[in-house]
Amino acid sequence: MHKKITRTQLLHAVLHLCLIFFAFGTLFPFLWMVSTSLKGNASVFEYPPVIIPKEFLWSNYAEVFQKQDMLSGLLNSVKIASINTVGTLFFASLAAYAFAKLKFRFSNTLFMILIATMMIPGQVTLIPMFIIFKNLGWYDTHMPLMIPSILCNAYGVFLLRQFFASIPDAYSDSAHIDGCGRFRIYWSIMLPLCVPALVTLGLFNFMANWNNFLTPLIYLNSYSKYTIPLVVMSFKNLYSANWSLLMAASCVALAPVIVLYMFTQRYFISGIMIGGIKG
Amino acid sequence: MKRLLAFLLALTMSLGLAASFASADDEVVDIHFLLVAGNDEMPGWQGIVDAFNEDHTDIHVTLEQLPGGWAEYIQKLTTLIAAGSPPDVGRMGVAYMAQFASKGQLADLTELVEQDLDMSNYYENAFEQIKIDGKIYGIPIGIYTMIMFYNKDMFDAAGIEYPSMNWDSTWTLDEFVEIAKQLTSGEGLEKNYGFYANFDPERAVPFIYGMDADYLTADHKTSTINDAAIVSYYNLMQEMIYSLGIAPTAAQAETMSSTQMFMAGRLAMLGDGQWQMPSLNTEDDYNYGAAPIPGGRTNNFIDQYVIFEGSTKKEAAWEVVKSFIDEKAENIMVDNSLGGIPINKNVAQDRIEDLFDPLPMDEKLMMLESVDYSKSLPFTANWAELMDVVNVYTDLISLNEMSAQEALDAAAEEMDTMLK
Repeated sequence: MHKKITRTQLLHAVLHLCLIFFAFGTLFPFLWMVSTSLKGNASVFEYPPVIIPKEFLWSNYAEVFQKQDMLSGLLNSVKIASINTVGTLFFASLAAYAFAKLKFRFSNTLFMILIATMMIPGQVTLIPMFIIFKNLGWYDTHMPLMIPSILCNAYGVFLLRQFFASIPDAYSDSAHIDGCGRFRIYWSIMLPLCVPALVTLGLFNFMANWNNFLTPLIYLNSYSKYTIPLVVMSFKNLYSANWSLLMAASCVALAPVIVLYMFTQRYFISGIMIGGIKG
Repeated sequence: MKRLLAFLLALTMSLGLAASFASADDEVVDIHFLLVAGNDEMPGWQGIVDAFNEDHTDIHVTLEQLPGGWAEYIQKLTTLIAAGSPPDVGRMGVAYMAQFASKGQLADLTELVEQDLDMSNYYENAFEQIKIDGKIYGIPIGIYTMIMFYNKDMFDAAGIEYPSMNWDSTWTLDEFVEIAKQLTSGEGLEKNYGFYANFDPERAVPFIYGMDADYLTADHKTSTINDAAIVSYYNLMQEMIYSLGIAPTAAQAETMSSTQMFMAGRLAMLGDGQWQMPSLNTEDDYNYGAAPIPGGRTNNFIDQYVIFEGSTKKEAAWEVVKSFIDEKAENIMVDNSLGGIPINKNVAQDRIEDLFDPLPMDEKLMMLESVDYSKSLPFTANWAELMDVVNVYTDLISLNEMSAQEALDAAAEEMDTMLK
C-alpha cells in the first residue's frame, strides 16, 4: 500500500514537471513581451539576454499613450468586437435553431450550402466584397467589419446547430403544448440550455474580431477609425522598429482579452471540449 | 413594386445630381496620397504634404497612412486597383515597381520628367537606374546604397589603417580577405570576426557588381547567376566561414544578428545600407565608420513616388509628385532623416552636415559619391519569386551543404524557366 502511494506521487511529480516545462514554453514569449516593453530601446537586444530589466521603464507605457491615439483604437475595437459578438450570437443561434428543430423544405440542402461557404478561402472573396462594400458607400466605415461577420457566420451556425440537435425534442414539444410559440421556445427554452456553447462561440468571435488585421487594413483609411491591431502596427516603421514601444502597445492591446478570458475561463475550456466532441 | 423602383430611381438620380453639383462648386482638386509608414516617419511625410498644401490653393493633398510593411501595403493597393479606385499618388518599393508597371497600373512619367525636371539639380544616375524598359514610372523618394560599415575600435586595436574613402582605389578582394583575417581574434563564444558573409543575393550584390557581373542578362531573359565571377565570390564567402574562420556561420548569425554583433564589437566589417544607421546609432559606446565596398562598385535601392494609371487627376498628381522632390520638400525630408541620400543634389550637398551622423565629413562625402558608383538590381515583374528560389540554393551554400558551382548552376536553371 505504502509503495503504491509513492508511485502515484512519483507519477504526479513527473507529470507536473512536464506541465511546468510546457507551461514555461507557452508563457515565455508572453514574458519576453512584457520584459521588452519595460526596457530601453538600446537594451532590447542585449547579449546575453536579460529577462528582468535592471530598470523598469514604465514611461514606455505613458509614451505609447502620448504618441498615438491608443484610446480611440481600443474604443473602436471594443465597439466592433462586442457588437459583432452579440449580433453573431443572436443571428447564428436563430439560424441554428431553425436548422436543428424546424422541419422545412430544403433545410438540409440549405445547411449544406451554408457549410460549403466555409470552404471558400477568404482571399477569393476579398476583392468582390470590397467592390460591393465600396459601392454601398461603406469604404472607410466600420460597417464592412461588422455586417458580414454578424450575418454570415457559418461556423457559428454550424457549432450551435450541433448543440441544439443534441437537446431532446421533448423539451420543445412540451413547451409547445403549453402554448409557446416558436420564438418563445427558442428564447426561453433553447437558449438557456446552451449557454456554454454560446459563451464559447462568443469568446472565439470576440477574439477573432479583436485580432483581425487584414479586414480593417483593407477597409479603413482614417486614423480615427483604426482598430487596435492597426494602431499597434503603426509603432513599426518600414525599415526599423522601436521594439520596446511596440511591445508596450502589444501589452495594452492584449490586456482586455486576458481580462475577458479570466472571467469566462470555465466556459472556455468546457466549450473547447464541446467543440471537440460534438463538432 | 413599381412604385418602389420608381422611388429608388428618383433617389439615385437626385443623389447623383447632388454629387455633380458638389464637384462643380468645389474647384480644389483633391489628391489622395497613400503611404505605408510607421508613426516615427509621419512628421516628415506630413511635413511635405502640409508644405505643398500651404503653397497651393488649387490642389489639396490628403495623406493616408497605412501601418505595416510592404506586403500589407501591396495587398491593399492590389485590392484598391482591382476595385477601380486606386489612390492618385503612392509610395512604391523599388522591388515592386516592375510588377505594377508590367500590368499597366502605373502612369508613364518619362515625358513629364524630360519636360519639367532640370536634371542638373538631381542625381541623374538615379533616374537612369529606375528605368524599366527605358521608361520612367516613378520619381525617386531618395537613394539608399550599400556601403561597408567598419568598427573603428577594432581597426585601432589591430593596428590597421582605416580604409580609403575613394571609390576608385578601394581594396581588392584579396587585400580585403587579408585584412579580415587580421581583424579576427579569440575563440569559441568570445570569437571576434572580420566580416559578415551575407549569402542573400540582394545583399551580396555590391561585391558582385565590383567584379562586373550581374544576376541576369541585360534583357532580363536569362539568368547569369552561375557566371564564373559570382561562383567565385560565393566560394570565397563559403571559405571565409568554413576554412578561414573569419566570418560567423549562419547558425551564429541566427542567435545574434549581424548588426548586433557589429554593435557589440564582435564583427569588424559589415556590408549594409544607410537604412541601418538608425539602429547602429542606438548604441553609443563604440565608434564606427563607413567605407566604399571593396571592388569600388555598389548597388542602390530607390523607392519611388508613383502615379497610378487609374487616377483621374494625373495632371494634378504630377504637380504634387514634382514638388515632393523640390528643395523645400527635400529639406523637410532631411530634417526628419527620411529617405536616405536626397535625390536633389543641391540639398544633399548643402545639408551634408545633417546627413549620416555620426560619420566624419570625408565618410559623408563618400556616401554621396556612392550614388554615381551604384547600379540597381535587375528587378523583374516576378522578382520576389525568383529570389525565393535563389535563396534556397544560397542558403545551402552558406550551410556548406552544396558547392557554389553546383548550387548556382541549379538556381540558374530554375530561374531560366521562370524568366521565359
